[in-house]
Parts: sequence; C-alpha cells; structure tokens
Amino acid sequence: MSEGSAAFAGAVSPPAAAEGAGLYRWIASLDHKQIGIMYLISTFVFFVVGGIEALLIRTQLAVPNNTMLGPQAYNQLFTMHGTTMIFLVVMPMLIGLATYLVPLQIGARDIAYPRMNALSLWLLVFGGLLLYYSFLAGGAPDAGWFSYAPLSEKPYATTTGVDYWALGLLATGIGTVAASINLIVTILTLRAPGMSMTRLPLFTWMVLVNSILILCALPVLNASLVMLLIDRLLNAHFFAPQTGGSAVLWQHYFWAFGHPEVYIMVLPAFGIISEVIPVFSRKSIYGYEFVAASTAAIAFLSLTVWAHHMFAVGLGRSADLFFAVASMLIAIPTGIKVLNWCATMWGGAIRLTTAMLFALAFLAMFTIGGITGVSFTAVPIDWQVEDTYYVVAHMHYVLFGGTAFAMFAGVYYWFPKMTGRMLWESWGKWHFWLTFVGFNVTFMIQHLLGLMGMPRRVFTYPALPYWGTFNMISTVGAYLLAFSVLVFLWNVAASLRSGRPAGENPWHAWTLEWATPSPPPEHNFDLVPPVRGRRPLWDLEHPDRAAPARGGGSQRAAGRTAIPAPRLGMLLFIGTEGVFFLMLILAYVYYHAAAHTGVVAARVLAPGRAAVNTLCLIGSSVTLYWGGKSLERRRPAALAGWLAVTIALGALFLVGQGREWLALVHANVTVSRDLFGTTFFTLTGFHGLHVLVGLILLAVLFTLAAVGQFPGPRSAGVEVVTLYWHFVDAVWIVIYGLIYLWALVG
Amino acid sequence: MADDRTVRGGLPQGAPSPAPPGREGWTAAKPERLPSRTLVPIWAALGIVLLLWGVVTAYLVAGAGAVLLGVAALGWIGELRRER
Repeated sequence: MSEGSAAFAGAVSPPAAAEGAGLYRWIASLDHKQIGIMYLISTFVFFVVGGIEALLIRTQLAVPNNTMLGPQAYNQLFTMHGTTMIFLVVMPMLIGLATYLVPLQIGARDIAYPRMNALSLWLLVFGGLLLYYSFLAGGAPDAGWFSYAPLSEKPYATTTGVDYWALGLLATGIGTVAASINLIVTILTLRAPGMSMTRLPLFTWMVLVNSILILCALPVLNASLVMLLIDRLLNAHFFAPQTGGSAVLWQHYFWAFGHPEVYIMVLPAFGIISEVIPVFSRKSIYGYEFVAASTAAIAFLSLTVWAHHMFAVGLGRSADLFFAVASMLIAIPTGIKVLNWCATMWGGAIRLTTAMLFALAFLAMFTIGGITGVSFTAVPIDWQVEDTYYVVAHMHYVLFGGTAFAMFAGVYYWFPKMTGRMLWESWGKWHFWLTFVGFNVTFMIQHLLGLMGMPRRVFTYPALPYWGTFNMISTVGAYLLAFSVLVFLWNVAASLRSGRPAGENPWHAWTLEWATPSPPPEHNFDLVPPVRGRRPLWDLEHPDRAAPARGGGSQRAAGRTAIPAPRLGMLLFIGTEGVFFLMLILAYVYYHAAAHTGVVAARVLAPGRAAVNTLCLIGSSVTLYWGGKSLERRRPAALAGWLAVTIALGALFLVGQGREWLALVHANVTVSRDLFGTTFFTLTGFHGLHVLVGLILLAVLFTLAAVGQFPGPRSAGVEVVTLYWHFVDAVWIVIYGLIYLWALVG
Repeated sequence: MADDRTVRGGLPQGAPSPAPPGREGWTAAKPERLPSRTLVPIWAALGIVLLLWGVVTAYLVAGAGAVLLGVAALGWIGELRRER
C-alpha cells in the first residue's frame, strides 16, 4: 500500500453485506462497478462472436476460388463482423470501462443516474440479441456495416436482415446516448472538492470529451436509421433513387456519424494510454494541457471531415479540397498526443509490465494506422485504394492496433482494482507477444494486397500472383490472434482462481481509484480529500511538498458545476433531440429545394389551420410557465390547474394534427406517395410522438400535483418536464416556419 | 424488486461533513444516497426492445413492449418519489 492509499485508511468503511444474492444481485444492480463489469463481460462475449465471424471470413479467403462459404453467407458474415465489433464491442467496451472507473477517479460514490446506467447496459445486451436474432428470422443483414443505399433498400435487401440491423442499432444507440449523458453529468456534478476541470485524470477527461462527441454523432445515426426503416417498412423514398430519393444523402448522413464514431472508439483509448504510460514511467504526463486540449480539437475536427469517406462519390474539386485539408488537420492534434506520450517516457524509470507493453505497442500500431489514414487525404490515392484491402488494413491498425491494444493495456492495469487479484505477468507477456505477432501477420500484408488491387467484400478471388500466398499468411495470423485470446482467457481464469492479491495500489499509481480497497466497496468512498493537483495520491504522500502550480482551480467544493444534475441531464438530452430533429429537417429542406416538394406542400397544406394548432402549442408553454410560477409560490392547487390547461392545449394540438393527417390521406398524400409525403409525415410524425410523450409526462405531474406531492417551491420533476415541453414547442415553431410558411412563399 | 429502501453504505442525507483529526478539509463523497437494487431498468430495456421488435414482427409484440415500458416507467417514478 502506498502512503497515499494509507492516508485513506478509515476513510472507506468496510463493505456492507450486499443486498440480494446470486443472479439477482447482478441483474438488479445499480452499482456502477457491477454494471461496468457486466458491460465488459457482455462486450467480450460479443468480441468472441465477432472474432469467430472474422475467422470464418479469413478461412474462406485463405486460398483462391474457395467455395467453403457462398457469397450470401459471406456478405452476412462481414456485415455482422463489422457491426458487432463497432457497435457491440469497441464502443460499449470503452463505455463499460468508463462506467466502472469515472466515479472512482473523481472521488464519487456512484454515477449520477444509477437506474439509467443499468438501462444503458440492458439496451446493449437486448439490442445485440435483437440484431443476432436476424439469423433466425430469415437472414442476417448483408449490406455492410454502413448499409449503403440503395443496397440497403427493400428492392435490393429483401430479407428482414437490414430491418434488424437498424432496430438493433437503434436500441443500442439509445443506450449509448443515455450512458453518455450519465457520464457527462457525473463528471460535471460529482467531482471531489478541488478537482477542477484542469485536474481531471486524463482518462476521465477523454471520456468527457468522448461523451460530448457521442451526443453530437449518435443522434445523426439514429435519425438515419429511422429514415431507412421508414423507407423499408412504409415504402417511403428518403434514400431510394428510383423514386427521387438520394443514396448519396445516406452516405452523408452515415459518415456524419461514422467519422466521429472512429474517434469515439479511439479517444477513451487515448485516455487509457495517458494513465498507463505515466505510471509505468514514474513520471507525470508530459504536457497535460496539450494532451487535454488536443482531445477537444480532435473531437471538433472529427465533426467536419465526414466526406473524406466519400471522395469516390465524385463530390467535386472544392469539396474534395476542403475535406482533404480538414482531414489532414486532424493529424496535428493526434501527433501532439503521440509526442507527449513519448516525451513522458523520455528519461523515465520505465517498467515493462504487460500493461506497458500493450501501451507501447499501441503507440507503434496506432501511428501506422494514423499514417495510412493520412494517405487517404490525398484524393487520388483514395480513389486508387478505396474499397481495397488497404482500407481494411488501415482500419484494423486504428481499431485493433489502437483501441484493442489500449483496451488490453487498461485491462492489465485495472484488473487488480476490479478483482483484487493480479493478472499473471508471465501469461500476460505470452498474451502480448502472440497478439502483437498475430495482429501484424494478419493485417500488415493486407496493405500490400490492397495496393495490388484486391477488393474488399468479395467472397473469393482468382489465383493471381501472390494473392493466394499473402492471403494464406493473413489467415495464419488471424488464427494466431485467436489463440492469443485463448491465452488471455486462461490468464483471467487462472488469476481469478489463484492470482496474487493486489492490495489497494499495486502499481503505486496516483489517481483516486487506487485509494479504495481492491475490489472497492459498493459505495467507493466515505470521505474524499481536497484535491490539490493532478496526482491526488502523490499529494497525500507528500503533504509537505507544495503541489506543482498546475491544474489551476481553487480548493472550493465548486470544482462542480452549478447546474443541478436533473436540469443538466435534461439539457443534454434536449441537445441530442435537437440533433435528431435537425437531421429530419435537413432531409426536408434538401428535398424541398431539390425535388420541388414545395409545389405539393403549397397545394395540400392549410397554413391557417396549422397556425391555430401552433397557437395552442405556444399557449401550452405559457400555461406551463405559469404552473411553475405557482409552484414557486407554494400553490399546488394552482399548479394542478395550469397543468390541466397545458394538457388540454397539447391534446388540442394533437387532435388538430391528426385531422390534418386524415385530410391529407384522403387527398391521397401519404408517406409513400412522394418525397413530400415522406419528409412531411416523418417530421411531423416524430414531433407528434414527442408531444404525446410530453403529454404523458404532464399527466403524471398532474396526478402527483393533484394528490399534493408538490409542496414547492421547487421540483426537479416539474422543471425537467417543463424544459422538455418548451423544447417540443420550439421544434414545432421551426417546423411550422419551415413547412407551412415556406409552402406559402415557395 | 427489492423492498429495502435503506441508504446503502454511508452517511444519512444532510449529515454534516465530518472532518476527523488529521483529515481537515476531507468531505463526504457524493452522492450521499445510493439507491437499492431494482429490476425496473431491465424491464424498461426489455420493453423498448420489444417495442422495436414489434415493428418487424407483430403489433402485439410492440404492444406488449409498450405495456412493459409503461409499467417500468411507473415503477421508476415511484422509486424516485420514495427516495426523496
């Protein structure tokens, strides 16, 4: 035990007897640590499944003209492999690690919304099962992990596979958004006193930036999935070129999510490396500010470069130039990080533990992946190697050589904290070298195959010179990689059974999670010290030495934000909903301008009647405002009255909208008729759905108010529902202006 | 679902921050109250996924999901109220 950990003796009460037992103790758990571990186990199971799919793919490609798998089965396998690894493994595994660690690192006893935390986990599990149920329901999705239209549209993907793909990702996407809101609110509201934003552990810092990025990107995917589903299930036309839709719009939407997604899968890995390298170099991180700021820069830039995935579409020279330059820019903050990690090791007392070996390998592998990534920004190179094995190699150097290596570094580093046992270092080193060799044998040679012109996503290939040999080498590497996973599993099992007890702080690390027993008690901490710097345990060990003048911040408890957690959570949720509606609105604007839906709109819409509807909704915001004022004045009866009026006005709006829909349907204007119907019914339909949810929430508030549950002067429940209702009203004002008023003038 | 609504592992709400000798400036970790175990989130997640599943199978499945989600939401609200 380090002195810093010793200072905590008595500050953490012994573990209380846990409620419940057996399976119930786990599935009903709201403890962030148990939920984090369940995330890690679930995602590891999916990792094994996705790995088996990869082995089948590599076995098929081991020799030319192989017939082990047919093209249809092969299409399903590479689609499920990519989807599984991205949506069910990498992203949620990092979220799971964050769920476990963030409260501990900031000195909190749990996450901000424990129930929502559990909900996120179970949405991942059930969403993943829903996706895999597609195998039993007529065929798994087979249009690739990015489901390009029109291949993913009904005429070309006739089974329910793509439907299950979209629905499964919607379920997991809702969970991911909820988890991100939870992590942001936790970091902003539950930090230990003195832990200013500039003193956050870098893993937590990167989780924060990553969560913000998720809130910007995931709703884009969710909106796209909804539109694809409407196309497929209701014969709409968003992405169907044969009826005026745009397949390129799907690409824009998908990559507007997909490129930030790459960084969503990498930023927390940067955080792991930023914890592991300093501890095993016995030095604090070099250039904390640069590492932290470059993370924010990467997140911002990642939102602006999506179309570098679309150079082959033919976007035009100006667009190509813009996205090429923007993509090159991302290499700068990423390079800064690599330099900082190297500088941290420079002159340090490096300990080559398994965790450190994985971190070092991460540096090399991720840099290779980064450099090949930069090569795509040269548009002619991109044209040449697009959709070849060069892309496959690049992607795996980023996601396996980068994120998976970092994840293994993190597992070897934090496993002792999670379980109380050390992983065996000797087995760990076997695991590391097998992984390192297997990975490079598998993927390095794929660069050459790509440059030689071997396309990705073809189930077999002719016996061209070297192709068979190179593919066989790649397949042998894949089996070596699979064997390394078995070694890892063996190490975990052996260590759980007979691993050396870890103690509180086996690595002599500096962040607060190492101050608790291993594994930590359910409530983590009773007391937390004032945080004086970026290495709180080091500060406790050296009370006589002035903390370095770093990290700014005062000792005030108000390292935390002043916004209450419920309000902050709702504001973040509204932000994601705003992005969701923005995508639907953009689709309307795009088609309204390009396909002259305005002619239809002007003919069939009645802006006057809609104006009455609009007044009802605006009026409901006013009455809800007065309801809040009544609560402040401790007049619960008046609150109930204003809530009733608000509900009545909201219901009137819905009735009015329902009548308009009926009139349109009678006039043969439906979602499947043309692009106007498609965009109009989707946009107003989702808004109506939000109004309906708002009405249900208002009805709950009304019931509670009627039985005197709101004595005042404040109520978090009333406040968050009010915020939501105002948001729904604001969205309608935009929709009214966009659809109805534009129809008048256009 | 757990009946036990006790506060787990820590200080009662509103308790002053203790500062034992040698730990001046130390404060109680947040949040002060931790909720008990509950099955409400798993039911809610199942409800959402059934609701989605019903889109490609049968409205009955979607209906069952909506009912499950509604019941879970009510349970969720009830637990939050009891914790106040």
